[in-house]
Amino acid sequence: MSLPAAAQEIRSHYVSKAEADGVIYHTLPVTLFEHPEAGDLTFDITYKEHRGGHATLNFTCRMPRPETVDSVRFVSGGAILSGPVCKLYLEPEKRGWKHRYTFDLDASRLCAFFDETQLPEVTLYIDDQPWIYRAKRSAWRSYAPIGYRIFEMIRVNEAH
Amino acid sequence: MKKFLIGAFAAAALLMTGCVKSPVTGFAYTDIKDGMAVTGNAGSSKVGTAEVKGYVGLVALGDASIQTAARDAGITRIHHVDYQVKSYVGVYTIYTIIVYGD
Repeated sequence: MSLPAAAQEIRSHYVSKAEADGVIYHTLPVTLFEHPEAGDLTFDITYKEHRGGHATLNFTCRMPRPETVDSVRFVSGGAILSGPVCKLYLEPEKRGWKHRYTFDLDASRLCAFFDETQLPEVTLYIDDQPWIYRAKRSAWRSYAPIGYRIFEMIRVNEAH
Repeated sequence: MKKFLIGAFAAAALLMTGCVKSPVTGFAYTDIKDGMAVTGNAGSSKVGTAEVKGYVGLVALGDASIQTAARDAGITRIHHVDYQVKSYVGVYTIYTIIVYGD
């Protein structure tokens, strides 16, 4: 059972640091998406104030082979976070390959993205071929109010 | 047998609590953040984390190196490093390194 957003404790899900040019916020990695063959997708988001409203989303996923991901699309209802990705690294594991990528997104869409009533999915494009990770229902419903609350807090702090 | 198991469990939990890298630890529950290192590099726009997990003081797995945390965020110039520890009666412990930089 998920609690209303107002009742969620968010402090343990992010870190922040005040610096001379603005506060930097970072959500700790969460695993909310999975692929039936490849496994989980874990992501974290970093946002720094006064940088044009851009956030950086880093994600880790696993695939059977080393692939070059061109772009990514996170979709939650009408909220779409998409763009070309940059590779951080690829690393072989016991089974398959670990892929780590980063991409920039418009942070103003993050509150809408973390909607617990939706069941979002992530599509990676490899040579224009889609590779789809679907949300883990209970994990998403548990975390979405927390994500919403974090980015609502960031928006309010930056505005005042 | 039951007393032995309880004793072994408590000893393992105590041992695990002792392993937590922190100036202050709680036997029943720990949830702290602390600073680890600061460099002379200016500012930061990226944050990376890495963690290890411990179970009952018997098994500990993971890679909480600064290098791993920096690599996960594409950081090449480190500004400062914090860490965070959570421990539940020493049965389940998570140690997280948080690296800030560019």
